[in-house]
Amino acid sequence: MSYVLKRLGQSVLTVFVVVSASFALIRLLPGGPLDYLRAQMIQQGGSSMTMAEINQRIAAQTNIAVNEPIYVQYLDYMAAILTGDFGQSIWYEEPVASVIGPAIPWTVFLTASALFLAFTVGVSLGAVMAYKEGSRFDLGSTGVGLVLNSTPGYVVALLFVAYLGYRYQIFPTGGRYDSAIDPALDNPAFLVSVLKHGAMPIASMAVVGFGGWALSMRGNSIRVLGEDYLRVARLRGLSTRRIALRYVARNAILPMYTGLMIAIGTVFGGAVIIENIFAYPGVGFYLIRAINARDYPLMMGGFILITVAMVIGITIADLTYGWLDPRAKGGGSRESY
Amino acid sequence: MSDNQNHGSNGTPLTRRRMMQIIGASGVATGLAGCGGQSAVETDTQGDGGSDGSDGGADTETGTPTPTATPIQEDSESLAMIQELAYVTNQQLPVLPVQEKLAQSFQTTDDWSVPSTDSDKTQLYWPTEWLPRSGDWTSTGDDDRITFAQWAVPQDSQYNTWNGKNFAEPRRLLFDRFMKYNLATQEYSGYVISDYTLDGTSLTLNVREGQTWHNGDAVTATDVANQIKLDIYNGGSLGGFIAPEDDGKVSERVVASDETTVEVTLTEAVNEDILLAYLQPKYLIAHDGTYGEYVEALDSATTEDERSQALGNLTGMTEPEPVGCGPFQFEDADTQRTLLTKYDDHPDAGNINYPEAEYLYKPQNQGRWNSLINEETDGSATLFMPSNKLRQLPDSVQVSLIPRHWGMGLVFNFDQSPVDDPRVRKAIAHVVNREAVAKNSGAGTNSKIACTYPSGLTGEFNGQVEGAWLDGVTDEFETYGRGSAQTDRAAELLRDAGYEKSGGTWQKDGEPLTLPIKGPSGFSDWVAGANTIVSQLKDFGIDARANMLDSSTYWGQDYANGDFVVGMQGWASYSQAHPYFHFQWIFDSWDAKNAWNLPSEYEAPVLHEDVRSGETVVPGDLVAELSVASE
Repeated sequence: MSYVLKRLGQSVLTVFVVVSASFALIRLLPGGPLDYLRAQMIQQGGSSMTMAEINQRIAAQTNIAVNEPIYVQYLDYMAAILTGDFGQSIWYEEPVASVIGPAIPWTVFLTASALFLAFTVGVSLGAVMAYKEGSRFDLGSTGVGLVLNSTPGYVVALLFVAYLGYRYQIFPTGGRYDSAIDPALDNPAFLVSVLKHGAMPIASMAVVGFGGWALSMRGNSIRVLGEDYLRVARLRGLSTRRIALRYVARNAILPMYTGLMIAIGTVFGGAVIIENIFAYPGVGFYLIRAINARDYPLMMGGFILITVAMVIGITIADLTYGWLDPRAKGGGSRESY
Repeated sequence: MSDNQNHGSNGTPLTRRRMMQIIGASGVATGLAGCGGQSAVETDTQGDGGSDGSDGGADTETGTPTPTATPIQEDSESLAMIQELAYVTNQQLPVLPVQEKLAQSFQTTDDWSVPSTDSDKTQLYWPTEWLPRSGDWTSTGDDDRITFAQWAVPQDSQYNTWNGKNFAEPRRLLFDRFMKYNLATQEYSGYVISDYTLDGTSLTLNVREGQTWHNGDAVTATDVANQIKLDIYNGGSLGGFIAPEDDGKVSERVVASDETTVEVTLTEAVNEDILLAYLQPKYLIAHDGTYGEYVEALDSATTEDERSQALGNLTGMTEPEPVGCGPFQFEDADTQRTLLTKYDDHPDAGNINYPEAEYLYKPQNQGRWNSLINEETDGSATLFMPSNKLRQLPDSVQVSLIPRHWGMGLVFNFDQSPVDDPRVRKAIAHVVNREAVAKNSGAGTNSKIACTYPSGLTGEFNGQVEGAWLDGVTDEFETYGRGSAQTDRAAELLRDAGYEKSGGTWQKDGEPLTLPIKGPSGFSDWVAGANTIVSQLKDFGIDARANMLDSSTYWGQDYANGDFVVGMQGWASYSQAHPYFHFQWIFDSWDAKNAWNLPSEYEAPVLHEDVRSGETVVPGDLVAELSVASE
């Protein structure tokens, strides 16, 4: 129990440190929200606005002007988030939760689908590769897996947009769904449209993700396949299927559990660049806009969401790993095996 | 439109058209046409997107407007004053005009009937806005929805122009402008303001009758007065003519005298064309039902605190579902598009034969290029498209070109050495080969043209600078070498300023002549231009460096705070093109005084002795004289 408390304490401390560091770092960004607004107006310029006029408008944006010393802002902010108040987005003039909240399900849809695809395909492929160790299939798959695993997702995303989106026009290049369709969950056309719009972002992440899982699974499986208890199992006359699923797969996947939990922790922040490439309004999409606009509260909201999700993912992994693998129970207090 | 009530020097009534001929022929109007509010928001907001620094750019082969300069009467007082200001600019180089540009606008023609690219009808800022209203952009039957693009996420867009944020493109069809201005014919015509009369200091505006807001309310003089007042309260330039000292006077001087008449009292007689240039581009947004309370609060504010509180309330208000007065009304907006439906009660609704208009969310130039290539969008008001993309456009997409009367230049911080020395500025001008800069900046599109006479005058594309504005006096003007680096002249000037070339570098007191140039990294055409300039200066022996900053940091901080030695900036008035606006921008703007730290007084040789006698000149005074009604 004390391990659990200690571990939870560590997580809270991590979140606190990350939030404080983020708060300090984003204030170090050159410029502020007023500068961004001024720059926007200068660049828009259009409505015969002179600089004097722009300055007057900027001065009128009293809600943006931040006059308190930074430590006061920090204390106020920390006090506010403890009460669940993430503040008001400067650029969108709405509570941060109202900007990010509706975007969360869409981001989770992308990242969770991509993770599910990458994980299942990767694990299955890795297992087959292990069984066919040394074959041409194994060599070819390992090569492909390595290349894809080393390729940044945004490169694949840009290729998808360029070819599948613009050149061959198979998939839409942006958005969550076709605006002409009534967005209702009982409307099949809407669901198809959501899948179609999500296909390229999901595929971009899945394509570069599965290789890593496959290679891990392959390595783990090969190691397990050489274990004595498998020989015993075979000698016991257990079916190959039973051995593959209950003995090999289970033990090979186990070391990947932490990685999976960490990956689950990235569901909110894992698609920041991809969402921007596909103009897909999710959490990452708004985060980039917030960074550009120096929208401090919205930026912090995005960072906190991503941090907390990640910390929760890792904490769950830590706390439940012992349950999955009793050898690890109790943290570092036991003897090593 | 009523004729100008001012009088010519011979005592006869001077009509507006007559006045145009006198003070500047095609140039005046072409200039005015680019006028305010005809914003180039389309691409200019994309500073962070690696886009072009501005909105134009096209292959001149697709139809550069032919030079149509009209001769100018040389005895015109206004013309002489304009030439004098141009001469001071040319001799002192408070800014270095490098290039001018063309705005490029796109229309698809397979499902749509639109005027040809050489038609005068496309010479309106912006074609996507005016052609549908005038019945010149109609569906041939296969498409019942016109499709454009917008920068901001549709559901995050809002339409309170005074808020300043996410004021999205659907405004073009949701709201009507005060007036229309045609670049080619150089004529104003009425729109929401159907007619006007200017009599000395009294300006009367007549509101188009029978027009209603999308909620059924009549469009009245009160709405128009609201618009003018709110613009002035927000620092609008018209305030300088209506209530220059005291915002408390605005409500007395802008009055809706009846349902359709607005009476505006000016503090002094104003050049009518300058007045129109300010009025014409305004969108009528200030629906009394929506903005009336804000106008009332500002009208009744008696202290500065009350006024700033009321202004804060106005600028903090967002209007995501606006009540407009244009031919299309707001229907809905999601993350991907804004949908508008035709408002059948609009006076021009009969000219539109499609029931819907939509604006798709396209936050990147690349997306817009591809959407035009794939004909996903039916047109674009203005967008920079490089030559490789232009070649991919199907034949059915036409590109119209509109002189932009604006372009990239260098501004100098007069508080910083060495550019506080006119000889150094002139040396820079001699070294820079503006043709090469324009070529590289145009990225193969020929959309940028080098300024022949760095003088603050625009119209290079139309041959107006040489053929109209400076007709007869061009010999007096220095070109500084348009298409060549005049290094000998530059060396002479630098030696005169105390520099010596040593080890291939110009030095003074052992210190190398260093020129850091700052600019916005998001404006790709400017970056290319800056790199060209830097390389030319380096070749000559000046230690020049280009420091391209994040666009927000540059505009919002470094530039605005005057933290630069040489900065990149549009050298002409962004919004209007009459020389008055350019010289006001160069000599009398906030930027000139606060960012470039220009002095008010210069020493420059005299061009027209009847305009000024001594070499000492205060350009701001000449600009102010130019703004008042000419004799």
